[in-house]
Amino acid sequence: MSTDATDSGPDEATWAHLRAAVLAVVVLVHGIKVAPLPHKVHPHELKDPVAQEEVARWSERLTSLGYTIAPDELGERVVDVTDGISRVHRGLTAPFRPIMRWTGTNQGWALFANPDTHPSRFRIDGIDAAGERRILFQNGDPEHTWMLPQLKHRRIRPIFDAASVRRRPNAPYRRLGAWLWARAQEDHPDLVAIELVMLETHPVPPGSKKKARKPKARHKTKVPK
Amino acid sequence: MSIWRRWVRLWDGVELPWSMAMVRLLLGVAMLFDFLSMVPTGLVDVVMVSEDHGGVIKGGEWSAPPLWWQLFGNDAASAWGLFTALVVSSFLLTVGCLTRTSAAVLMLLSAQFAWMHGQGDRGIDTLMRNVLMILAFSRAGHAFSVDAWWRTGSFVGDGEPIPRWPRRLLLLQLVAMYFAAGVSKYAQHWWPWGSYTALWYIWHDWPVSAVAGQRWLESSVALRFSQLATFVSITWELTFPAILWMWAAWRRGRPAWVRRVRPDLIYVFLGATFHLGIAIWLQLGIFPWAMLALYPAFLSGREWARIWDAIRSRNLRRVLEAVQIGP
Repeated sequence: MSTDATDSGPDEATWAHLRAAVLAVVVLVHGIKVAPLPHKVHPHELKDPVAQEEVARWSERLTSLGYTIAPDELGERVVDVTDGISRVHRGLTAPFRPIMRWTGTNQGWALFANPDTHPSRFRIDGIDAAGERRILFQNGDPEHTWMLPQLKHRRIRPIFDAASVRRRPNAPYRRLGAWLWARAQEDHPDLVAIELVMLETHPVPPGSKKKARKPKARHKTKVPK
Repeated sequence: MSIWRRWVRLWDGVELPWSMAMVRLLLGVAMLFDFLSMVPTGLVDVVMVSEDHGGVIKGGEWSAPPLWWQLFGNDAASAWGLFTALVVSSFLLTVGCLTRTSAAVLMLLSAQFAWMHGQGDRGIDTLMRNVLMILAFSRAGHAFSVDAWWRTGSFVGDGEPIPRWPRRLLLLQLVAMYFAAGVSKYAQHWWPWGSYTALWYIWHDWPVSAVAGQRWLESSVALRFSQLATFVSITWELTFPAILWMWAAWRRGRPAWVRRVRPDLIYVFLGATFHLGIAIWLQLGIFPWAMLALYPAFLSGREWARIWDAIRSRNLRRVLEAVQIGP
């Protein structure tokens, strides 16, 4: 069932026009926000091996299409262009930022835009007074599941997920470490420290010419230091 | 007809309330379970308080602290207060009690939670708040609700039509989201020159994958399946705006095959499969369930009414015919 009120009485017609005007503003603002523009790329992000691989591949492709550009130059160009786009984008929606902040509404849907080709495996080691280590938790390891329900919870997982792509632990990750240490003191009183290890892995698709490399620690965080 | 008049007509009119009522109810259930999941894991006073009080959120001075902390403090009691308010408002939204107020309050409280713990606030939380904003202005409480019971004496409601613009705005949001997600996938692995290996790598992404480390992932069958799934996902996302053309074509009645085949429902079916796949292969918490909670909006209230009648008559053919009447 549907009816159309634009041809009905003056009050309803006025209301229909008013509603359409408000919705035009809403759609315009959210349309600008949802525009799938690349986010601002910071120079340090280009140091990540996944990003470097991406830039090198794009450089190869562009060169093969007749536009010769070295990976480093392409990287610099990406930083400049995305910075400009980001400034314009932010400027256009700046007047609406307070309302979006207070209502928590927004747009931005880069869902798995850049799959991690060097995904990190999160591990927590316990260290006792004799210096002996034992694994308390490891991603995807059914034998080491200390704090598993908490660590896989969607309000906690993003903290170490975000740190998994970094070369160094960030502040939220260190706070997570402090909280885990407080819990470890309750659950494992024999421990004198824990160490959070972010182990970089190198999956290689079957049939690929690339050789699998051994996992290596991307970063280690001992708590307490 | 002028563009402005067409725009006005697009948002005008009314329809049966069943679609938006189902979205409200299912989204409320998804959010309720999401918040309650923090209780058995003991995370309420961890993800809602700062490190100074035993939590994982930034401590010290904030230049703009969340209003909740300014009003009620930043400690375990305040965290439990916010948690209780979130649970109560999502419960009220689910049962449709003071529906519009519940939706608005839930959105504002969820925004406060996001303010505190930005890293734990994902795209799906933003999307849910966008939908709550729409629900706060809709009449989604006109059916399957306590509000309907107060108004009509029946929990189901009396089927009085409601404005149709909120459902259309919600559909536009979904179209924009899927399309933007597709266009944002600039990494080589989503494309032929990256051998469509994106999903294969995502399955190996330890923090989010439910299957990372399993040996069968290294088989060529798994790789081929992931490549097919990657191709379908990116194609489906990029072409999702075609659903707008399909709805317009359905209304015009031409080309005729659009009414006969209902390709929009093929897109919807693919979307549901996509989200169920995510629920199986990845550990993204509420994401697939909250997305599926919005899917009743893809059918109009009239279609849901006919489907319900067909189900009651236990006639599968009639169920299939019921979706032939259009969006």
